[in-house]
Amino acid sequence: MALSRKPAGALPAKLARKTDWKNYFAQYWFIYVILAVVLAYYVIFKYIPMYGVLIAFKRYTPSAGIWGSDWVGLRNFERFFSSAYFMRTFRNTVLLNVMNLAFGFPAPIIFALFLNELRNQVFKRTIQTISYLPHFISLVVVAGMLHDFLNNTGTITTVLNLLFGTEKKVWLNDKNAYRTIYIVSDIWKSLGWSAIIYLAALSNIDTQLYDSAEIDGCGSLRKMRHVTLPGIAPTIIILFILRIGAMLSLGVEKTLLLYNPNTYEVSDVISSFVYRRGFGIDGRADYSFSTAVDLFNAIINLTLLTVANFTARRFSETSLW
Amino acid sequence: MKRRRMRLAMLALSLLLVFSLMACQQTPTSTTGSTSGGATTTTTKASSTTTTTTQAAEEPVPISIWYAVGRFTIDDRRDKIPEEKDIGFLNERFNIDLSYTTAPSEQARDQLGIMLATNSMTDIISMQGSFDTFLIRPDQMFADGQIIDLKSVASSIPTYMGIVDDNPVIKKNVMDDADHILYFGIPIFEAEVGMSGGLMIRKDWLDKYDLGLPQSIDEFLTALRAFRDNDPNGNGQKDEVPFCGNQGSLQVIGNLIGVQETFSMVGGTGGYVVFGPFEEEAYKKRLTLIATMAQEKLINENYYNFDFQMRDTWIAEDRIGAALTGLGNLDKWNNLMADHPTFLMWPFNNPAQEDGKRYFDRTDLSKAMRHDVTMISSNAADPAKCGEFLDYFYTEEGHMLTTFGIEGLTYEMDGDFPKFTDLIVKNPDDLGVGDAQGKYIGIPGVRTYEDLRVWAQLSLTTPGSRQAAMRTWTDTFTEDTNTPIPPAMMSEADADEYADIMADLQTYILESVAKFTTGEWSVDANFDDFVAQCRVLGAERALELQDKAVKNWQARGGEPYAYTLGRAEIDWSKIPLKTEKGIELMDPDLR
Repeated sequence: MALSRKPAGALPAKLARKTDWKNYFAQYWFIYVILAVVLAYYVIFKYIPMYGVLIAFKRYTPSAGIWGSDWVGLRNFERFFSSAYFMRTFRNTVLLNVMNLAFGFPAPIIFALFLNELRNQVFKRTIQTISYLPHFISLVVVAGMLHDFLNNTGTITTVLNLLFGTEKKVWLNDKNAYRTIYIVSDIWKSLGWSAIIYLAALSNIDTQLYDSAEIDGCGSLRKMRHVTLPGIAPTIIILFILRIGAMLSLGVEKTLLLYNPNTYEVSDVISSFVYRRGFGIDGRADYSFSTAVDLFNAIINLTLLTVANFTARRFSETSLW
Repeated sequence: MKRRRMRLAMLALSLLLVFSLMACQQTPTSTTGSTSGGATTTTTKASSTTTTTTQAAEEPVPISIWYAVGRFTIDDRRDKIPEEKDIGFLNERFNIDLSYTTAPSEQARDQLGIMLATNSMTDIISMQGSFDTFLIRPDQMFADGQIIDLKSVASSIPTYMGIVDDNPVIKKNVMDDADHILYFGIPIFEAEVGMSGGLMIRKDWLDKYDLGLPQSIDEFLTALRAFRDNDPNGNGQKDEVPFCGNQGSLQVIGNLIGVQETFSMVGGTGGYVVFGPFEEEAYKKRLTLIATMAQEKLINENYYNFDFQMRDTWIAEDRIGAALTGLGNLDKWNNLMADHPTFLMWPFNNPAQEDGKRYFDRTDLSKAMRHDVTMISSNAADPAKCGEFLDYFYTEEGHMLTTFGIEGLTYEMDGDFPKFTDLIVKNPDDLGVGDAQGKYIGIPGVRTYEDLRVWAQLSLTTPGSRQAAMRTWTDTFTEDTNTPIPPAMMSEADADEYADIMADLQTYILESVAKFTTGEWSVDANFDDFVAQCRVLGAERALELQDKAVKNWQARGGEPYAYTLGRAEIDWSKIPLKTEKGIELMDPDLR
């Protein structure tokens, strides 16, 4: 820019650029129209509503509106942090997420890898269809099934009793079993669906690579290690970063549907605590408090996402930005 | 050509810009419009309701009503009830133009929240169920300037104001601490009408083991143990559920001791507030009772998150020994099992304590009102007209219309007694009485007083339920041993402080009670630590705040609280029983 500011020749250059730009725009204007629609969507539905986050610093009353409500500074955050249960809910949220990441993240990858090795197309498709069916079952129904199957007379309870001689009890009242139930049911529900994206990535790998690997004398396991895995590594890394970015956001629904006071110690997460806090007492809706907690979650998530992305860029060529 | 294209592009872009600016504009206007608080009137109403052209001298006043719709909307009844009999009739009578905005009940809370948060309320807002389900209370809505003080339209609502002025207790419910009248509610004038549920047990099973109806907690537990151990249904399996319920039912069983889980009243609604864990002796008894029920498996093991649909199945399978539920279920089950050789579910009194007192947990009775409320919003262009319309249903004529429906279609007069027709009680499309009533009767969104003549025909059709409502549950009720906290309100600052304390305290208590219940903690060893921790979490301060709010409630309207409900008179000869089973146990004058 600084170089182009030379007094001599600046005018013609500028003019030339202007005509270039004009020509360019005349030629591609429609693409910009299409872009504008998308931009408008984000501006209208994502950026403008963001000013509502102000109520985290206010005592929000609907009739006074977002701008008209009184400022209270960091009061809503203080209320959250000073709770006797803040650390516990924070720990539970992080722990459930970490466990989900440790077990729930690799599961679809492994599943996709094995599925990819299947040669019988009919069998492969059947397996795939069955595996992603649970994705379409509503969470409420899944929770109902869990309650039913893990009941003291439920199917799973009975099977476990026959196989391992475990006690016939209501498993969801057992705080030692809660996390396992939560994670395993999550994997069961999302396994097939999450595998789709990996299967798509797998189909993009150049088959010549496999051929040459075979010529070099690789068995199927070594092919998996040296061709398949590197081939889908970018997908894995991107999904991993995105997953890290959702570390503190744990949907409240599943917890509300599965937990009870017997398991609070391990099951009570930030969102369920806020739900009880904001909605359960005295019938007053505390919008500001919930927003403050949400904002806190968002900041942590954004930080984690940035760190994960930075690390990924540092150690591999793949990153979100 | 290029130029034209260019222009087109610019046009498209500028249009987009305008649209997005308009979208930006929308939010600010709604906020600036609302900063003026209670005085806001918006003009959006005219465009949202369609004005029908009538020949009336004055244009009809459009009135929009929001309500949570159940299984049936008002249009579903048009196969039997012509519009001019209800909505059309009302439109003409009041020169109004009614329009309804509805939300399915499961979305009602969210929709109401959005409506309030954007200040786009309909003229009339009607909330079904307790305030807690809606997470917002009328006095908060009033403080936020979203509903009007009904005193400002007092001259248009003479009937309702008459009821409110004549009944100090009802007045306490519908007003806030600053003397504003906030809503139209459902007054209860007779105890039988407010008595909606209680304890019941299998009389035929008790007879098998020569046990009488339980009079004390010990006798109750003895009966449950007998059901658990002796295979009363005789199928050779130990599949009996001695007492069927969920976590909530277990807490209500605990309330029989006279102290509730957190806060409760001593000396009835006019008494004073106590915090359960501070009442050491009673709370220990309460915890022991709950723990006994759970650990001895006298309640179904899956009582946490128990699905009540399961209960009807278990009843049909002849497995349930006792329950704590509504009158409707008692009636339904006895009808459902009318063909069973012995099945007889029979009501019994709340067991007496050692001091001979029976304790109760009856909210509706002490406040002489149901939860459901209807309010006039500050958006209403003609609040007086809305008031006039809503007041009509408290008059005899309006009450009959919304409670019994249309004469000749949904009810017939038998002397001076309105009897439901077969459309309701023996529905040709096989709807249950409750569904038929929901489909064909009632003007949505309005309120009226409760009428025993309805429930007598719909839910008192077996000896068991009739005896329960008219005698067993109602006779023993005493207001001074009733323990629920009245619907008191705190000031905003107090409510914030209270919520901050209770968020932790409630969690701690729920969790601790669960530990006592399952036996992880023992009452003897851990109770003192439990109470100490409650104090650490601020229980004393919470009690103070709760007490202050209740005292304000008791003083509302300048009169102290006094129990007001009378007893009902009804001509039972007009109402046939559906089954005679157990008739020998029913008081003869109820036949």
